[in-house]
Amino acid sequence: MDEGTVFTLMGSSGSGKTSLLRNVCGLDRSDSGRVYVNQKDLTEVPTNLRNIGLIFQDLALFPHMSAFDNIAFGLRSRRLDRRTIDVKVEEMARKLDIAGLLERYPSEISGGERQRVALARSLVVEPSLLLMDEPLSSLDPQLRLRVRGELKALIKQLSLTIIYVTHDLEDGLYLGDSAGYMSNGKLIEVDTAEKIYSSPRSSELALFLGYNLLEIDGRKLAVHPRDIIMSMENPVMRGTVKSFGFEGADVRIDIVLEDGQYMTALVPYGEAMEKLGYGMTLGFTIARKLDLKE
Amino acid sequence: MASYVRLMRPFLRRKWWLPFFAPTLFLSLVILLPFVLLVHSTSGSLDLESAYGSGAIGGLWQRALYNSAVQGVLSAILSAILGFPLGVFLGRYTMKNGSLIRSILILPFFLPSIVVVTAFISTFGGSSTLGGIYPSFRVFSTGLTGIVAVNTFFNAPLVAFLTSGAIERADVTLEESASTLGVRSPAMFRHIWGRNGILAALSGGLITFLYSFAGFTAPLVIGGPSNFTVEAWIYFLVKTLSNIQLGVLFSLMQSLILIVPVTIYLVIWSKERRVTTAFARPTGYRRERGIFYFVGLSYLSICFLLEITILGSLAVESLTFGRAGHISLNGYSLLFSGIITNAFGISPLLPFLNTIFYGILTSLIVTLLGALWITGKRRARIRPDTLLDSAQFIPLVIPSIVMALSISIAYGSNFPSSLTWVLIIAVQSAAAIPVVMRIISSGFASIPDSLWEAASTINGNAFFEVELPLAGSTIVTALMFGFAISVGEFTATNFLSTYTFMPISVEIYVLQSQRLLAASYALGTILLVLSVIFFYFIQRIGRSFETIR
Repeated sequence: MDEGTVFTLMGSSGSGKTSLLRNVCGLDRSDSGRVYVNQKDLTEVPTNLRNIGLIFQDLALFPHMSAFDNIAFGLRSRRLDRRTIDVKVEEMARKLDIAGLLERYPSEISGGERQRVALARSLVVEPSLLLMDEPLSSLDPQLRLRVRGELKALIKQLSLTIIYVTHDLEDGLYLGDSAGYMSNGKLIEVDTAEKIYSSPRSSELALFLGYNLLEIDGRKLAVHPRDIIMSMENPVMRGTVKSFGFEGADVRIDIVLEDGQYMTALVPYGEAMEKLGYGMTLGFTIARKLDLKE
Repeated sequence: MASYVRLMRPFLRRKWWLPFFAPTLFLSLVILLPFVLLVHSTSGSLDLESAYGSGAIGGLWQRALYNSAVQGVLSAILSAILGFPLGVFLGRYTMKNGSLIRSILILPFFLPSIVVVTAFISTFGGSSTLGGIYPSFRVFSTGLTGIVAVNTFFNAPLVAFLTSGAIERADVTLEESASTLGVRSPAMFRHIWGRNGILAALSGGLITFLYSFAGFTAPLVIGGPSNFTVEAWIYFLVKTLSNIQLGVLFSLMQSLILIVPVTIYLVIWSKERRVTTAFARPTGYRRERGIFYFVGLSYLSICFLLEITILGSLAVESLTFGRAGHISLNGYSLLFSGIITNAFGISPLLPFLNTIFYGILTSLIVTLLGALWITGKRRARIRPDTLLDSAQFIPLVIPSIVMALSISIAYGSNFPSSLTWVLIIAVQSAAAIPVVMRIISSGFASIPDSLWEAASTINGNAFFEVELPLAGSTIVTALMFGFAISVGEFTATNFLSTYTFMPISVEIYVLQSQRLLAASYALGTILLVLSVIFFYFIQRIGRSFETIR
């Protein structure tokens, strides 16, 4: 990872993302492997001396402390004088737009504000690396989008170096300068967010991204649902409509192909809905297909 | 060797084992080492086979074991039969002042055993008003019936309390979904909410068995030698007959026997399904009140009345003893007169000061040990209900009298008698471990791991700045329970204490054995009032009290 960039680590639940984060900050120990930050081996360094911040899924704000005390917690532990602490906390609070709620307790502020207090608490001690473990997962969809936008703006404004863990594809792609995909404890692919999305090379990642995995002419292919086009003239494959439904801009159609394979297609709303019916046979062509590694 | 050191380095560096150090040292020095030394020092003369022979020793042991078993089984069965319905009622229905009603009902379990025995004597004894009018009631103040009655009075509320807690925590969504599927009440009881209640009642019954099997106060005070349990015989053999070898033999065999019920108890405890509060009964959840409610309410009223009568009669008898219908403070004035000082060398205020001194130190020690132990477990990420947790139940396998005997033999000869208080506090702390540890354990369990982890990532002191403040009410509750257990602990304290180091509980026994009943009632009432005040404060410190479930 380069300094000042965000690396999003994506993967399904149980893939080992959180374990990796906990190993990086020293809360857990790995059986093998080493942790390097700025070319320094931190494997044997205790958590409290690694200078790596971690924002937890539940944010882990101390409920018995005000927002100010939460943010000042790490500074007090470093034995800074009171005046310096006040200045640093207020400066960080201003940057994160939470200066007006420093006297309030975590239970008295909104989800988005809590998010920023947690961020301030981690950032005020100037960590060399910040780890974020699905911190948006507990927010409702609307607030989540807003907080995500604010978070990205802050990250860019403060040039933070972050490893951001999520199982949410959209969060991962939106926030990451680069992204990685984990499965069964292994980092399967690492690339820019755009490349990860547009050209997955492994079947695990392709599935995670919502691609169809198809076997055509003995080749294992990943086909994005939007790259499947309904075509009754010269179709490359035929299938029966199992179900379909409106999804906003698109209509999602679940299809069982003649050879028994399952596939899903996203076609523009409009003409598609009028033509569709349960159990009807349709023909399809594929606009773009990707060969998978295996 | 080098690879071993490399392997251990991260563990040693993280110092996760440090918090375990003090509790382990305490358990080793106060319970395990003295017990091992006790057995070892007398191993040459120990003849386990003799206990099963037809000789005098065999006869005595078999009789003691029979008494312990009979008292344990009868008390457990009666406590479960009487406590379970009460627990079901309290667990299923909410009512106004429910918390207060529960507090009053569970009170006997937290009272010093000597106070409860004295209350039974004052209610049903030959010189009591009730015993005078209805002589058939006297059976409750003497012999096997009296012992079982006292044990049941003590433990039935515990069974009810555990049962109601488990039923309350039953998953409401499961019950609601079952009812939408047309499941009938008996099946609902069997599969949904009753299962936990039954397990809790079984667990309570087993605790009753353990406490009654190793019962001491009631057999000693109202049972007489024909009803002595193993525990009472150990005391009698060592203190009265100075037969230490036989005392050790009985101690060892009792501990071996107790391993079985303690293990069963631990298995049942671990089987209780835990339900998160998200699915447990929400506040204000109210069930329809039908016939069962009114039957339950009537039963609750009877239990309530019985408890008030028995405890209240102690206070009444302390004022009217020997002068029916006339109030007199003779018992109280006797306590603070010079008569007792001259007769026994017990100064009036010393037992009070001793009680407070022991209580404060015991509560501090056991709470500190508990907090360290739990912190160690959290840091080392040892999940709950592991084998390590069973260490806190060692005092159930090695009961107080055995602890007192072993510690007095292990350290007695090298210990100046002026430091007897150290031994008393050590044993009282050990006896308080099972309850206090469970309180602290539950209190800390409600603090998410992410909080202390967050503190450690920013180099803060997780224990002092995060966990301790958040577990504040738990710590206070643990301190108060530690104090209450110290005040009520009679078995080991009576074994170890001398007149100089005597607390109130032991003074009550001395007064009773000298037939100074008025003074013993007066002192019992004082201890009862102190205990109730203490219990009131325990209840006031939040709902942390529930953690003993």
